[in-house]
Amino acid sequence: MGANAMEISESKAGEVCVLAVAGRIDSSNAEQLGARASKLFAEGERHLVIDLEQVLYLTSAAFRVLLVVTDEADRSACRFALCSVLGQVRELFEMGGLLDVFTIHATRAEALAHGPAR
Amino acid sequence: MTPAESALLVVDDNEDNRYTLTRRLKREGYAKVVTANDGRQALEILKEQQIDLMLLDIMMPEMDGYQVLERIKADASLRDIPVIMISALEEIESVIRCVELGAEDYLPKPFNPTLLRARVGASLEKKRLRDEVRSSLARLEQELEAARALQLGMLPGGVPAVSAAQPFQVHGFMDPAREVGGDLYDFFYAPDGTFCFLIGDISGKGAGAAMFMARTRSLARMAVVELLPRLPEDQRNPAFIAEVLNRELSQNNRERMFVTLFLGFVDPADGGLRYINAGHPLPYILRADGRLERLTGKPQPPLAVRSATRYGQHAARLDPGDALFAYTDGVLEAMADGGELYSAARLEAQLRAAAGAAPDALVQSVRLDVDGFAAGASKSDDVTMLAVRRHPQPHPAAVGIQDGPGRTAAAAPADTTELVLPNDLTQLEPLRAAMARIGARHAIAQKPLFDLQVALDEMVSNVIKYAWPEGGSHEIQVRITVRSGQVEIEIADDGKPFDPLEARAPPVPEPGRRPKPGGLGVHMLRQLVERIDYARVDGRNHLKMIKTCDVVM
Repeated sequence: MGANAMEISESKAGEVCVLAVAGRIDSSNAEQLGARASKLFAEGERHLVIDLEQVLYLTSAAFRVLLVVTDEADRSACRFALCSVLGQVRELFEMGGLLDVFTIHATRAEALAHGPAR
Repeated sequence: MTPAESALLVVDDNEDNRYTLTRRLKREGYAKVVTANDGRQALEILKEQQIDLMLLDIMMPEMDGYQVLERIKADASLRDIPVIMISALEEIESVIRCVELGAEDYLPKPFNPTLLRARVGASLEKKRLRDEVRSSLARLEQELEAARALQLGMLPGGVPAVSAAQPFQVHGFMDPAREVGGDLYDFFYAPDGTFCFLIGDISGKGAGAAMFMARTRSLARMAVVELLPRLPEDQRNPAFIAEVLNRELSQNNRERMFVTLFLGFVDPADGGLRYINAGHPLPYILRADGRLERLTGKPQPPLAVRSATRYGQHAARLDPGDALFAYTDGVLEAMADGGELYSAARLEAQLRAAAGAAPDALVQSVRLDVDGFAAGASKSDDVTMLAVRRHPQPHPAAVGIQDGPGRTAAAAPADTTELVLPNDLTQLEPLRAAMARIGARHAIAQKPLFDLQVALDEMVSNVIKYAWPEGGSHEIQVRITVRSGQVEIEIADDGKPFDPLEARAPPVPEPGRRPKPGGLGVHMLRQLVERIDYARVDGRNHLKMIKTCDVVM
């Protein structure tokens, strides 16, 4: 994987759609993540979890895209959460004052346990 | 460009070839076809006329096609004209050399009309597209240059001259990663003398971020300069301003842009710093004695993330000689060729090494260190730094203009402020504000200034309450004069004769009975000021108070 590469793997656990992101999310690729999430909402997914366990680094472009995804989820009455925000990535959320802005679950299992939208 | 508009040049020493090609091209709709017999003639024609495509024979006497091509490719004004080599099939080696030199394509003899049409058409289309792209890029570059100039114009142009009332040295530096940046900083003295500064980072880079930067910067200035003075005392703080900015920036924000912000207000009288941190890296304080500290406070969400965010305020103090160093994360993330980041550790080491430096030297030293570290690698993010230092001398006289336009503080023997007030207890605010400004201007310490405010308030209130028993609207003149070592307050009115000094010291109030007003006021006055004089002149009461205290002229 190149220095700026991001990989997204999609999986389904019951009603919950999980996007696991690996690598670095920055202004060169953040839009791809946003587009992927949009597509899922458009296809009818009602509960999306983005798993950041394998993310090495993210920039403000990534935060912006996550906020846009949050808005979209709200508009479509879907549930959206992040999970596995750890280590350096967690520090970035913390320093940016953004830990309280998103729904964040400690692990994927916990995120899945929170069930789909009613 | 349609076939009719394109100008073609056919270069061949063979007359039949010239004739055949010209006829075929004209039949395809190319109206402007010029011919040349040899290389030299071709070059002359190219210099005189606008030619959009050249068909060039390889085998010609004196100067062959390859040599003509060499000349063309060496000339910047001719380099971009597409060239199609005309050749016999045995000459394929020469053709290859020409293509390597930059010829677009080749056309074998005898000429096949279909191939002629296709290859000429394709080359002209490619040229047209290249020209379009080039002009679009030039236009964009121009627009970005204009935007960059505008954006740089939004940064504070000069630095206010250092004086007792304005004891802060400042230096800011911004280096956008692209033509326009997504960082911002600003600093200025508010109308009441408070020093305000801010630094922030818009999510993203380029034109969109630059526009958001412009909006944020204007709103922040407007809010502090226009809104703050009109607010009640308890809202005159950075937290309130941050909340106002946050609500405004959250409007019309589908793109979900946001801006981190560190906003600080510093009191010129005592260096007290009040600040909020909206998701921005916390600045450092480099103390005069060389200790390096980091400001504290849990970072809160950036502006425009959530319109209801409540911002909490923190406090610190800048003593004389202390400097505050603020920066954006572009500094920490400056990347060297091998992928290593500059990091906080290097920044801290550099700051420690620069202890005692004035802001411009401080910023320069960090900048040089970052540049040296990241040398060669392309810029990944906007880099911005802002340093604020409280001048080491407790009461700096006019130290001179730092850079750009600025006022020098002229030393004056007496500084006089005069006001006229209506006899209305609810309209004393201008008086308090004037005294506060005078206090800041002359670096009057907190306790004496407080005493002066109380004395002033008390005396003017007394006049309003007792000078006109019959009522009606009247005027009170107040004159405040600052001289070396003292502040003098004169209050004049045309009410009934009233000598506050005749009131005796009040008896100790009996339990359950409130002390008489007026008497208590004067008693208090004697504790607050050193001298009180009263005179009745020309039907007017004149009261003069003098307080001894340190002032800076």
